[in-house]
Amino acid sequence: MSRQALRGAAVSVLAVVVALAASLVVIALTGVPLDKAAAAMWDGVFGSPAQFGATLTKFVPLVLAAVGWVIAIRAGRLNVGLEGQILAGGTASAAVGLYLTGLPTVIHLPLAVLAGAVGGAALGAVAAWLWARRGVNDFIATLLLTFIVTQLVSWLANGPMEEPTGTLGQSAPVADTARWPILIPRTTLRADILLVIVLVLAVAYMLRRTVVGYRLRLTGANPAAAQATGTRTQLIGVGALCASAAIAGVAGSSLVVASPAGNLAPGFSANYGFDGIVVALLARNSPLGCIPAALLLAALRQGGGLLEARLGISNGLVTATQAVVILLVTGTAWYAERRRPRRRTAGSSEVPAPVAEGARS
Amino acid sequence: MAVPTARPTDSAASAALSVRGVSKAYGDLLANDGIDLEVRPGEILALLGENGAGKSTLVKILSGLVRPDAGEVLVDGRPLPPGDPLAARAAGIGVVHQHFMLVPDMTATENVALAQGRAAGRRFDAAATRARLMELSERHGMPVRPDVPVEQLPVGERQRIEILKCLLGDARVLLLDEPSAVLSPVEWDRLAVVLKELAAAGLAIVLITHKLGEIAAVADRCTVMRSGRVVATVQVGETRPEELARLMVGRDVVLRSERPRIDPGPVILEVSGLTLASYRGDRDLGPIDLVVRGGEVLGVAGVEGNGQSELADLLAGVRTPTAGTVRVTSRTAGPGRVGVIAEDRHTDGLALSLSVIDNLMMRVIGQEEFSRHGVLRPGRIRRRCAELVERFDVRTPGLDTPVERLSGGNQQKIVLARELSGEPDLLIAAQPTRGLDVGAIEFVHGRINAHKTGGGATVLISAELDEVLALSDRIAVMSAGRIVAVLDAAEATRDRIGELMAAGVEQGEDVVA
Amino acid sequence: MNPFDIALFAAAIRLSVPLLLAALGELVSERAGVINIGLEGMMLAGAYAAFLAAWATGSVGLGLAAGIVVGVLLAVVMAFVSVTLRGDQIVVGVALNLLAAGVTMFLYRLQFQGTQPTTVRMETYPVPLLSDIPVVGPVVFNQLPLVYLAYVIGPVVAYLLYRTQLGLRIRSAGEKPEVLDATGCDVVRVQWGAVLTAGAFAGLGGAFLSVGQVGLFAEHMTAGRGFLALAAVVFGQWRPYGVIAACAVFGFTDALQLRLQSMGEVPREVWIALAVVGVLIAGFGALRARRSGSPLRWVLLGAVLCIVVGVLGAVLVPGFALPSQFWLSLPYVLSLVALASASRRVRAPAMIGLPLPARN
Repeated sequence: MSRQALRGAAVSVLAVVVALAASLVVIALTGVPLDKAAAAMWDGVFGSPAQFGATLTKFVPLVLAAVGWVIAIRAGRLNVGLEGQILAGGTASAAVGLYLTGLPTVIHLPLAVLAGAVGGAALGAVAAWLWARRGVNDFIATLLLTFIVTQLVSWLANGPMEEPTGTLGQSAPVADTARWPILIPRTTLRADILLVIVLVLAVAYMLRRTVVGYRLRLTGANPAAAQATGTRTQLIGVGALCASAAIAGVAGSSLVVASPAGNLAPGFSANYGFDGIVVALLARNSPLGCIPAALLLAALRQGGGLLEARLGISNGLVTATQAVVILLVTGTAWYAERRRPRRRTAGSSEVPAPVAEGARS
Repeated sequence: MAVPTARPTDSAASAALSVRGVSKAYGDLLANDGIDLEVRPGEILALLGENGAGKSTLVKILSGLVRPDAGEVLVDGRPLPPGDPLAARAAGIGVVHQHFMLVPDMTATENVALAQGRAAGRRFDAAATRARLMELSERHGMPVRPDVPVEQLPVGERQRIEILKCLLGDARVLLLDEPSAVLSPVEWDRLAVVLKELAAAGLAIVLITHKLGEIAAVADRCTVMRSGRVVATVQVGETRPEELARLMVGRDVVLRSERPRIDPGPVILEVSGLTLASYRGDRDLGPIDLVVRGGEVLGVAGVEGNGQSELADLLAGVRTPTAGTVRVTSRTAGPGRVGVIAEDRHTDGLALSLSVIDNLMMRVIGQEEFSRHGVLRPGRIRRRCAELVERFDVRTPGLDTPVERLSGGNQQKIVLARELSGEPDLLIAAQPTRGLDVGAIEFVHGRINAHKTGGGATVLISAELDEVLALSDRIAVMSAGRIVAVLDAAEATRDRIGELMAAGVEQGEDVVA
Repeated sequence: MNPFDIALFAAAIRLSVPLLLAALGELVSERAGVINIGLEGMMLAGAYAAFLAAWATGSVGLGLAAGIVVGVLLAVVMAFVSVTLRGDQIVVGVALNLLAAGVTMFLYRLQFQGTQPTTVRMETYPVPLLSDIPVVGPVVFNQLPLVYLAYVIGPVVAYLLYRTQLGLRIRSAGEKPEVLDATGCDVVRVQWGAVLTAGAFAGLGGAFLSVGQVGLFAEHMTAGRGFLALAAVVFGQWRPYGVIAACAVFGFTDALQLRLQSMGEVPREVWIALAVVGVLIAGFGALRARRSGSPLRWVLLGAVLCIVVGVLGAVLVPGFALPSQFWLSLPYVLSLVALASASRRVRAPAMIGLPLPARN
């Protein structure tokens, strides 16, 4: 690990510690004894196999969304629309699970997961097209698409895909053949976590050890040099957005076919897309770093739930804590990266010295 | 060497602008080293120097954008507070930057009002500003459209807006940084008339340029800069253009590189009818015809901005020509391979935040040797990079060090290692030693010579005449987008090339005009 | 049954006001080069602060003031991290949304323990004489006082951006900051000011939602209006009157959507209106194209589509209701189509999302 990476990790850890300390102070101010709060947090995360299973269940979409963000950002693209891609992927996955029945699990489940990836990637492809061909900012395109898809999914869940006899605004559960088997009995944890780990490792491997990953990093670092030495940078940008969206789509798939209810419900993306950005930020855009970071945020989410149930401290505190972490990490990015030229800088005077004057004045 | 110095003829008149002992260093590089110069009201002073001579740094210091390390700037005898753009403007220094300081989606009126700053008050009176702009525009014969966003205007008109902006700010000293770089010859002629009139009206004008023809056309005196220092100040009327060219391109370092001679091999580069329409303003590049053989270095000399950069881009395939062909024939079987040393290694040559390994592998990563089925082969890659670092003498703490931590010379060595290790048939070296120290320069020259003796063809494009002379077997002199002459090394001398560059400038512009 | 009655238009105006406030603030910020994804959070925090202050003091005015103050406070965080420290604008915006959602939820539950108290709210104020004008009066001049403020704030922002020195600076900061720098003006200060303005406007817009309209607070009560305001800036193509028009369109579709939800099918009038809109689009498109020479393809395609669907619908009156989700996504679809079809001259300010270049 380079010194820079170490410094980055230190900043992340420090940010988390400061944010947690701040929320402890807030809890103390509300009059709840800190030991009880801590105990509730602990029980929430590790208290029982069920609780720990639930933490890991939340880990799955978080780490996927984060890795999705990492792929795009490494190529210099901002995919703010992970949330929408989760919705798109989940819905596609649900459709396969609901309507393509009569298949054995070994075919049906992979198909459902694949549908999730394709659904997410399709939405990513729209954004990529807008970016590459129509010159629309990638972050504006992905963000706006998210809101369109949110409505689309809400309509599907309330309309065409709604279960006629069931709860309003939800689909029927997908066929059992399309659902992930439970990994640990009496928990919500399903076998999709194994796929997720494989996916994260695959992305890490892709970035470090493959030609495509190399070209992707090169494009993110200096598109002009990449182009001049034979990398097709626009293709890489489009591919990165689509791959990023595909992974978010798999997260969406998990949120449907690996969820306890196993059906399509509006709002099932539950902000995982945006929280994924937090995870990636905390991990400093390293795919492997996303694993501990996502575990931490999943624990916060899960522990925060019990905090609310047991002590009446609302979940909002967990959300706010995440926000403080982001602000601290973003605000101190210059510290960890002070030797690096800034990504996406507009132009001039970034490289003052050795080129001499005139070259870029 | 004694520095010839021409004083203003009427020494009684006080200088409008004087610069005394101004120095500025960026890291190890002394961009300005004790600069002295003076301009009187009514005078046009040309500031001549190649890219990298320190002109732009001086402009930034004069306009208050950069604080000098030492020395002072006086306007009308009063010293200027350093690093304060507002004070510089208030004192009457108006700058027309090479890259216009205009907001593209604003109109001329709005841009002028923006530049006026607080003086214009909180709300800006569009009608009054426009009226004053138009009044000045008519008086000085510089037509502009006041209500069209400047991004929709041709560059010549934008430049006029820049000048008017300065005049509206009551500038008494007008600095123009390479004003002709964006102009067609006709537009330049018009500007020259305007500049003479403005000087006649009492303005002190500093014209920064590296084009000799322009100096002869408008300037009274000329201060020549080289490597951050003033090397001479001469009366334009009494100095021949060749003399100026020699002052400008000379180098303080005596180059020791020896040129190996080998018999030229088969033709490797064949360029015919190469044309690029309107590469700069409405000037065209070409048509250019060239042949370079194996074991031969073709140097391209010329005052910068005469199409050399564009030629390099066309040869490297970064730009697509309007017409004509570039054919590279391989010495062995298969397609011809081209190595490129880009003019600006930071923007086009290197990914600064990535490691030495990553930067060395850019071109060859897809080859069977370094990746199989899209998967990298780290062992081979590392071995290869270690070998390259060794062979090209790159001083780096490690193979995984980000390139931005290395010195300029070592960065350039990485570019060389990458581009030459593929044993290209043709090497295009654009300004290969810019910004490097002497040791690194020698190393680069050695590598180019080694490529040559290995039987490869080379096109060397450089603003350093000494470099071109030292390395080239033949020298093509470029001017106004064309090759005006190709000399054999034997008949090429500094004077001869200087003459061609200077004469060519006038001839070439006549042809285009 | 005709859905286009006075109440519909009055509601359209009322619904577009919080959007307009937030969008105009955002316009200033984006023209200065800072995109503020945290708009939603600023509105939400403003809504909560306004509710809390009004609930505690019984004063609508203090409530509105509190909304503005909290909006500005969040904007201070935004400006400090993204402008001064040059953190990524997008990421900071995401953080602010989380922060506001978390803090408001936390405090609201802490204080009110699951109850939903109501508080004072703004009363409509019919403008004397003007409100008696038939049709226009009850629609335009029988509104909440804050609506009247919104009427003037658009032109004020337009005046600020195009007719004042400060406006020139703001636009220059977002387009080419080095020019502003060269005039000796501090770009960082200009951007700070613009971001704080956006915060104040967003806070006020949020306050309008809570103490202006309903006199209560609900978690996530902004329901995406901050993002809608962002879309309005895009749809309005970064021009004040464009943004006003965008907010009007968005407010109108929102009102229409609410109205249509109570009707079984889409009435003939709506289809006719759609055809009319198509004609208008074609007309405006042709006018603009003649002036700027930009290609008409996309505009014409949209217009023809509107007209065909409108005429067919009016003739057949198909017996289905468009789902509310269609209307809710319409603003975003319109924004994206507008962006994708725009000529190259219509584009985001050049510096949006980028940190300021370093000065040596």
